[in-house]
Amino acid sequence: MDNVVEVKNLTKRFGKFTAVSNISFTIKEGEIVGFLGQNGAGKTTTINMLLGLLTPTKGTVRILGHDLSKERSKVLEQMNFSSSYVKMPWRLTVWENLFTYALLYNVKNPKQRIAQLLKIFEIEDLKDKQAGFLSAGQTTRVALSKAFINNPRLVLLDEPTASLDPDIAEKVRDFLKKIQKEEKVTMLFTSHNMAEVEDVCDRVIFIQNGKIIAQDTPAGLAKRIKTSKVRFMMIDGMKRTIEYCKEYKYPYQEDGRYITISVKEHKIAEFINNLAKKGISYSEITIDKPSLEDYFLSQTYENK
Amino acid sequence: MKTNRILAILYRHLVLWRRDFDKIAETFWWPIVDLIVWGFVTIYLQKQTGATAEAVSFFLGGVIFWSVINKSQLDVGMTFLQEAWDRNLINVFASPITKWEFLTATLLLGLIKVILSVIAVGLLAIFLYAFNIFKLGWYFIPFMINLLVMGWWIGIFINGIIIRYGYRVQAFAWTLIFAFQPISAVFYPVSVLPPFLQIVARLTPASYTFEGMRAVLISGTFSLELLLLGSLLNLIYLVLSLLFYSRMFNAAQKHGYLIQFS
Repeated sequence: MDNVVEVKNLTKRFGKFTAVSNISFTIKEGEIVGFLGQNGAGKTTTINMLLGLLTPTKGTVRILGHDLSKERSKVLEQMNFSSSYVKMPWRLTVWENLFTYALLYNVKNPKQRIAQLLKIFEIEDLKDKQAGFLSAGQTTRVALSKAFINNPRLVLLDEPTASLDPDIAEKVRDFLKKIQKEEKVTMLFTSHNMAEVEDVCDRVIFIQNGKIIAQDTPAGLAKRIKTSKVRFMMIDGMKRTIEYCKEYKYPYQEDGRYITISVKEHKIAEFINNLAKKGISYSEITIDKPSLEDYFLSQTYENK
Repeated sequence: MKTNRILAILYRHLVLWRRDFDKIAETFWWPIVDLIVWGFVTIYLQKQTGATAEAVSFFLGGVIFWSVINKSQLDVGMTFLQEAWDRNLINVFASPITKWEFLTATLLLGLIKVILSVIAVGLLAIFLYAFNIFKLGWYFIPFMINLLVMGWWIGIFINGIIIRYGYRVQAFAWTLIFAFQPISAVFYPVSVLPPFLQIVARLTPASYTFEGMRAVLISGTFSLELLLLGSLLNLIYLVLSLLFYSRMFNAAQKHGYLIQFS
């Protein structure tokens, strides 16, 4: 199978408000796709339509070759999702919760599968603890265990590492990359951590005001930003540097002995040369290439 | 219809039921309190009027049978609400379970609790008041089924309303049933009602069941006509409630009401 997800002209209207407007995209088998956008851009509405929780106003969703609207149960048996914003029954223990989902998804050898997942996400010691008494990070790990209980072929992950300690978050990312490689699991991934998206995702779909405005690799999107950040630790000439920035309209940010200036990539050499001509001296210089976060921020500011 | 999904919902709610005193109380406490109160009313009436035990025993029969309707309807709405209160609805309905499988699980859950409740209250009535509901013999079964089905369709209607209107109408799950009590002939015959309410009572399946039960308990006669009329009305309302539930569920998927619960 080539395309695991095929979304065509998907639209969702609530009265006069259009939450998602005529979007189309595909996700190939084994691909991890980041689904990015500001709050209210239409990400959650799209995910809810992919999960069959919301009926589209227009358009079609085909998952694993099946029409979701016609073969909902067949599709959902082979997929799963995790969201840090959805809770589990708080009076049930972690094991009881996972056993419930193992039954719901008809998992063969549920006890064995639960034991595997508890080990992978390092929550074996929590199996008899009631879900309501877990920390935010522990809850996220239980939600991830639930998301992989049925060995899904497609997983929708909404902020999968929210509230996790950095070391556990890294282990989760490693796990996602491992199952992508070994089991060709396809994933749609939302996160506000752009570094994480760059690390994990093969491709990014950027949605704004219910419309897809860009689809590219994380590096490809970052490249669309032509401005780099040049940071100097000044020895002499801070005042002259600021005057120069003001005169030629370079955005800058002063922080004690440091100054960070946004400069178009093709003008960096000329900019540094001109500072030298003015006799400005500095002891350190760092040039930050544009990142996915810069792209995200640029779109956010443009939208405002 | 896949049994594993129905079992999943049953397992999750039975584990919770076993763990929560509230839930155990719902099944046993209130029916037992009702039984004790009406048991003393029965004793009082016997002493005051000199009536035979059989003549006033229908009060106790009414209490036990009313608990069947009440418990069976309660679980249909409460199971859905419990998922909403636990913010777990999205997890459930984003799984392969269908609305019909979920509904079946809630009906079975109600059935399990009704059986437990009737056994407990029935045995207690024998022990405390020497009243044996099981002396209805085989008639006990069709009466029970009719009351159970009435509880189900009321519960299904209420569930549909909750799905559509959300938390603001959640109290219907445990209060709306009492609107049916005065017109169900639980403790008195339909003939004591004012004429317009008699018409309403005749459209309520439980009125036929309670009148039939009273006839068996007091005079030992069984009316097949009452049973069939009650069953026919139940069947009509059950079909209507299922159509209503399906329509409300589809509307919830269209307008996003399910998501709003979480």
